[in-house]
Amino acid sequence: MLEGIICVIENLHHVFMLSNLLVLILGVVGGIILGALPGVSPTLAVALLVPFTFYMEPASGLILLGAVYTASVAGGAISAILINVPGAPANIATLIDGYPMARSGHAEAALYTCFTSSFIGGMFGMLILITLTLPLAEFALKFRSTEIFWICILGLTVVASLGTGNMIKALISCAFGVWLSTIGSHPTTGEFRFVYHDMLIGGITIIPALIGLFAIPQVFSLVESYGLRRTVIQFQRERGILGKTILHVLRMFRVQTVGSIVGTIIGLIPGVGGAVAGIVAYDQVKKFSKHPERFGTGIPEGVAAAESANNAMVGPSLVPLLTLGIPGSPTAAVLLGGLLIHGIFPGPDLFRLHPQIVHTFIGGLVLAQAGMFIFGLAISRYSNWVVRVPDLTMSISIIVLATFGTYCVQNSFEDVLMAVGLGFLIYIGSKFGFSPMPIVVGLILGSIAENAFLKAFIIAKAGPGFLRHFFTGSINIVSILICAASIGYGIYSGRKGSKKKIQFTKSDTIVSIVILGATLLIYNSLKAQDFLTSIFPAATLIIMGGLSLLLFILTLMSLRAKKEAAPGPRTAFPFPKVLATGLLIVVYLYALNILGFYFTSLIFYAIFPIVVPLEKGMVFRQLPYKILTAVVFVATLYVLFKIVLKVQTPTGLFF
Amino acid sequence: MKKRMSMKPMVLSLAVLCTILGFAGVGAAKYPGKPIKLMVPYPPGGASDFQARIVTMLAQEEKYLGQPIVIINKPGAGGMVGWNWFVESAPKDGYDLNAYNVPHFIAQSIVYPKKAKYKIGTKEPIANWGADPAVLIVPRDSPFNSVKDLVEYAKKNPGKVTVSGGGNFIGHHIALIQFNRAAGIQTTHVPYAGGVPALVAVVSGEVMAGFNNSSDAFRSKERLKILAVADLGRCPFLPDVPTLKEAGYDVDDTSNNFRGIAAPAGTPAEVIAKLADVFPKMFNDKIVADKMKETGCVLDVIPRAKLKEKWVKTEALLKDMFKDLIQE
Repeated sequence: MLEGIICVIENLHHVFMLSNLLVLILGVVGGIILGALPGVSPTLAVALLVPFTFYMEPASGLILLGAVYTASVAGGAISAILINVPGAPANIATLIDGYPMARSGHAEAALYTCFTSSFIGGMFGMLILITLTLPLAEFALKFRSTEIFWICILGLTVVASLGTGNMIKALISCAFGVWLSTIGSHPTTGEFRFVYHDMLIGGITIIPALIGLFAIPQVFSLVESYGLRRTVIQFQRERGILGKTILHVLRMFRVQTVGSIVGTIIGLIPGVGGAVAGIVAYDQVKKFSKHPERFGTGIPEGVAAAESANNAMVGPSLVPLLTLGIPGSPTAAVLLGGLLIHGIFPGPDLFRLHPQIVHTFIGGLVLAQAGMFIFGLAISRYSNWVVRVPDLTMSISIIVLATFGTYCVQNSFEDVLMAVGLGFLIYIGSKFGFSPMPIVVGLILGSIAENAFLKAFIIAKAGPGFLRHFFTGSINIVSILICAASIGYGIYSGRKGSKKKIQFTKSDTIVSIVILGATLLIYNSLKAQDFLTSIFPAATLIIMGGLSLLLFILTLMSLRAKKEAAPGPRTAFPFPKVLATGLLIVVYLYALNILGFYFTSLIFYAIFPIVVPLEKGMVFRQLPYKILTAVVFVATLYVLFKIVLKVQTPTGLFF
Repeated sequence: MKKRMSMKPMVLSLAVLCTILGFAGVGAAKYPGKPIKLMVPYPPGGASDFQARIVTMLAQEEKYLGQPIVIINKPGAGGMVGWNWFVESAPKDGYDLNAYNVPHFIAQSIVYPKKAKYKIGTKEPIANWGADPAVLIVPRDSPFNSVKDLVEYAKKNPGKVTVSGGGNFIGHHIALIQFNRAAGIQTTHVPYAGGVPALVAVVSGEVMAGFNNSSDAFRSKERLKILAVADLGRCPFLPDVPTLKEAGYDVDDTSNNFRGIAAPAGTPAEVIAKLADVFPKMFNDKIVADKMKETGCVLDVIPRAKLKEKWVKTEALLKDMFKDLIQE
């Protein structure tokens, strides 16, 4: 155990070589920035940099990739906290409390909490990687299809207690997300489902959907509230906030322990990944808390739980790669490519044949954690710049960034269209109490769960039988028990808090009928498929239909019980502004392919304030500042991505 | 005076015009005049992606293309998303090429004639760079020590032997179908989402056997037993592993995962001729060959003429194999 630590320390001087140290710093700073851009997930960030390592020394190349991986995981929290759009799936749990913190003037504290917790979780994960590599590799192999299936079900049950709103609506959204994940070609059987248009052959890709679901409603909510909420929060930078926050985070002993352990275990499971780690840790911390009702209102514990978990995952996620040569996550798969290019074969021989390179790599990862901490804190100081950006400029920037992010995931304009479509849909849904989070969780876990289920089903049929295959084995039994406990707790707490929490309005009767109708229509389009292809989506749709029926009945009952339908605080809905924004987004997307991404974006900055009828004189207020923001923003994207990283964007007549 | 004053801008603009036209002329005469895009229909980091990056790393050198090749990943539906985009939307001017995987794209075009917008006629083969034969693997602690053991068990227990592979209708699956037919056995195919998870399933003992990429299996050889290779000859880095043919089962190299470069049909003939001339030389360059060897990949350079014949042969074989599975 200890020899691992000693080897890493012995090789640390290789990292401290000037050139390697420079590479490390560059990787960390670049990683934080790339990670903060919605759509540039850790996987994509590492993939973009692999070509740069072709001509580097193996050790330097690996330090660069490791540093980018570490830093981009933490960097994804920045956009989650500041603009309510997660940088990557791993950060979805971060925004539940992070964005409310930023909105109430504590953006800096939220970011300090995030980076401190990331560091604690990350170091815990690294320590586990260094000391327990071999036993953990054996443990990782114990997660087979049935185990992964049950872990996914566990993750899906978390959805019910995750949001603060209506639990039935959260479950309906989650079922909708699972259904979305079944669209397109099935990754194992190759069969096609719900391909109503050729665009859907490849299915709904997770990261574009994630961005669309969060970014589009965020843009609309900024537009809606513009002019209504004149009290733009002006706050003073608190003195000594850095020290105070770090001390506060260090005192959250239980939060950090739960976060780190959950992150470590989930990091080990091949193919499950960071999104689940963050959500499950958040959920556990909330359940163990004395004040579960305060979660979601903007408390540092929520941010800490999510971030310590998704960074704790980094180290363990490399265990299967380094010891068995098997990448446990998409990012590890990209790292594998980076290793192979240097003639380094991960696997049992790795520690014997290239001990120096491996230990330099691990040492680099440890130092990258420290670098991420230091530079993260430094960058956080400037978070006020982002918070102070006027809502109008911010909403335009979010549209431009979201378009860029969804496109560059897999160079697909169809992905952009699907993301925006889903965004419009959830924006309408949000008016009726639906939220994007459960959809994303369903989308991520749905395909993993289905894949695992199908394989386990085929194997069970060939050999051990269904019951024995799914319900024996210690990890299966433990997972099933935790699932049961989670559901039980959800029902218990739901009943306890039902008086004030679950509210039904008249519109819910119509909403539930619409959903039921849609479910039946979708179910009808499935009937021609064979058993293996249809069983999972059929089950999902039956659950979704059942839930909407339940919603209908409960709404009727509650409306009959108390006649007065509680009218919410009515505010004038700025319909023209919202419609103009929606239309403008469509025009923007249309123009991209004709005029080119960067050119259209610049024009978009100029046109948006004119077309969307806001206050009088808005167009010219702070005009130089606005022009500067637009030009700097687009130019930065252009230089960083087009020139340095050679990322493709739609090009038309211009650029 | 007046004349001279007006002459100056005219001469200047004429000069500029000539320069532009000159450049344009050079651009039209000399292909390639700008970077070439190579679409890989799999995600970054996979074998197809990083091999594509290695074999094209020298493109910028004057003796080859003099222009860099930029890799664009368009993954989805086992390659179908990228290849569909390629035949439907890619410009046919020689600046858009794609990486192909045979037998994958040919098998898809046969099984899903409606969903797949491509078949061998829609692509112009340029050159093949590599081959990754499928190997038959079992867990380290498996009771099967040879192909014969496995076949005998499968004959006594039809359908009980679970065999993993990286998905339906790809090389691994094709190798299994061929093997089942040659040995006269029935097994249960368990498709995974890609070669790596299928390999993990064998290592962890979730399935009893698997067909997987020779290069990936080679890296995990301490936790596996590699029983045979589905190829015409033995694998250079697995010299002790017999071919299925040597073991007594008539299986050829149809399942071998061939990777290479193609242009869309309709690309000018002189452009194709130039690429077909340059690419094999570039693949055989010592720097590329060494890098491929270091990463454990088999370099198998096949020129355009031979490649065309090979595709036609593979398509005929697969059409026969999948004739009962064609879906509308």
